Amino acid sequence: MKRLLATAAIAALLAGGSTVQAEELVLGEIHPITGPASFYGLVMSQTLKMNAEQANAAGGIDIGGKKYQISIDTGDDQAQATKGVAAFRKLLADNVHFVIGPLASAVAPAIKPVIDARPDVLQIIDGSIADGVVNGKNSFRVQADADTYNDAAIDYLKSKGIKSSAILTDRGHQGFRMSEQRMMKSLKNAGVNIAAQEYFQMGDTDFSAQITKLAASQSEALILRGYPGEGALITKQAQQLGYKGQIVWEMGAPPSTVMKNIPATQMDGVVNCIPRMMADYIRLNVPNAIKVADAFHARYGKDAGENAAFSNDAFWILTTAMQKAGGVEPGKVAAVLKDLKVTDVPNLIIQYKPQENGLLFKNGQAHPPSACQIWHGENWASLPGDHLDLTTKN
Amino acid sequence: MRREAIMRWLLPVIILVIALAAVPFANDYILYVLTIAVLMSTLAVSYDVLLGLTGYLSLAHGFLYGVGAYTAAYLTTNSGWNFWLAMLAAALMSALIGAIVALVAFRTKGIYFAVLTLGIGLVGFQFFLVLEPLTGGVGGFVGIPGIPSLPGLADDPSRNNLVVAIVLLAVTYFAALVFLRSSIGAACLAVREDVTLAQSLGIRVGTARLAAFTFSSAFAGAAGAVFAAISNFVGPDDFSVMATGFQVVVFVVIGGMGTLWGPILGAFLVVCLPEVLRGAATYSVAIYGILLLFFILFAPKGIAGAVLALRRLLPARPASVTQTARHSEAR
Repeated sequence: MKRLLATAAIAALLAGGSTVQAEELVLGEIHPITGPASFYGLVMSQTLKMNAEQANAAGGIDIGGKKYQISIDTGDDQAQATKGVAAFRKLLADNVHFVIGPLASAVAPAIKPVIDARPDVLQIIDGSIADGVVNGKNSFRVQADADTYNDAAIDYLKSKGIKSSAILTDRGHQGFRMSEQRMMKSLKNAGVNIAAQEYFQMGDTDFSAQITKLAASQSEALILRGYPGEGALITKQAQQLGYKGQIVWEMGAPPSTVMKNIPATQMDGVVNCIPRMMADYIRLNVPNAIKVADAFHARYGKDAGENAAFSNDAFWILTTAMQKAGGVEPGKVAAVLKDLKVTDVPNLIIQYKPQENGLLFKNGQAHPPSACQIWHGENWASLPGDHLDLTTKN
Repeated sequence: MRREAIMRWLLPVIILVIALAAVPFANDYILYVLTIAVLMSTLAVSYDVLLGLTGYLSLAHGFLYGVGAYTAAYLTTNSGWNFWLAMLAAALMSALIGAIVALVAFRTKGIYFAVLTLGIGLVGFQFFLVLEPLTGGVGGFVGIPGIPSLPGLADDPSRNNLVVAIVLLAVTYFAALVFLRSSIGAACLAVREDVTLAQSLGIRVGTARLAAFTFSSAFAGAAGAVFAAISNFVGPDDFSVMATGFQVVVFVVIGGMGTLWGPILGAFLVVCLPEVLRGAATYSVAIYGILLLFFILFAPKGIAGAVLALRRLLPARPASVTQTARHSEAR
């Protein structure tokens, strides 16, 4: 769990000759660093490493009267289940007891049996929205669940008085597929008729058959659930095939990825309903978001990606819980997480909706707020009247 | 030929000894990687019986592996079957479906056979996705019971899993050897060399090919059952054509087709290499690709071919002292 640094003497010298002894605390992370999902995962990994560097530069994290230097042990799951299990077991073999991740919904259910069997391991999921992967005992999630995505889109349709919608879903997206029945029920309850429903697969490039069928339903809206590469291509082809309804996305969609697949002008008016992500918080001038974005740019020379906020928050939630627990015993830290309040944690970017009694987690699940943005120019913009209540320390 | 026969027995024994020797010392991660490598070796050996012996390139093997995994998962989780019985049922189910696939697919040959089995692999993958009550759909099948403990390994499921995987590989390997030496195995080789000639010699080509495909499917199914039990979870992604379907071809081509022992080396290389390269994750895919290119360009007969060629390069053993002595004694 912790390794005594061989270089503790150097730290003592740097501390002005005092006899401060730093210990190393290794936090594991499991994200796709290589492979097709690395454009999400690499940023998450870099955010965690930057967080650790910042904490260490400030003298380390004080836990139970001891200063800990944090290091990040990276497990590359390539967004594949078997590789994810291997990466996760490697972290455990390295004596890591705290793990942040995974991102991929293919990996989270695959490692869950191992997590459930290991009470000496504590996991905070910062990416996957798959159903049933959080137990609230030793696994927690700061990322939203799939229902948060769906509800945001449904709220938008209601607010616009839209009465019928077609739905096009990535067949391989576990979070969206597993929440499908619940979404249908919510749409019906909201008075929205499901005009047609179709599927596609990640990597598809021709969607004309599905779009033709969906367009024939003459729905007022088309909800796209999946990843931004396909989302952009579907939007482009829908316009080419004459679809006139409102297109509503449910996907984390960095503008750079969007514009690789569709001219920016063709995106005008497309709405994206998702949990608020990094770009939202920057746009809404949340101080912690701006601070992290600036630091990320200075450190890596590029903008922080959409999921950086979740990884950043997972890091500070975990270390705050350790401080409150007064030690690094996973069971004690998990007990603190259950009682942790939204206002307890510094440096949070996401403005979580407090659960009962102001708690951050309910049954292991945090509640990040969602919102819809509209594409304007070359970026997403807030819808008129959008506002954000700050719920955390900023 | 004699060298190859020696390798056919010697290499598996060496691997078995190394794997078993590593069992007491390896941590959970190494045990898991070894277990997956051994399971993939089982898949590779079973596939070599089809590709190596008959020359037919099937891309439906990942699907048949999945059939075994889902069959065992369903029987142990929902029907309360004992794992060993479920594994047997999984092997039989895969064999049955494999036989049906074979009856359809062997109406074609060459590239058409490959494309047809590619289609079957793709359709099978879609079945895993849409047959949600049986397979769990895209969310996968969760809560699968683990493998029952072998004597002395009750407290150590990781070692238990590895030992069971090794036993399955050994059974598959020796069954494949028996198959190879049987009259059907000989018929398969004849089919590979020249179908028309084999037919003209009165060899029942259809029976030989069907037997090879069914044999191959049965052991793929058994491997799938073990995979399901050690993972406690199966999702469709592991059985797609792009995942196991192509990977098993790579195991056999890199290892050395038709040797049975070569594909074991191929599977170990392909499974273990990315793990060894985890430290250089950014470059691991490139290194992996370069190695694949190397084998295809410079060692087209695979690792097995390279090993045998190296042995041929070794200077012929001079008349040994023992032989000279024996000769003198005889005089």
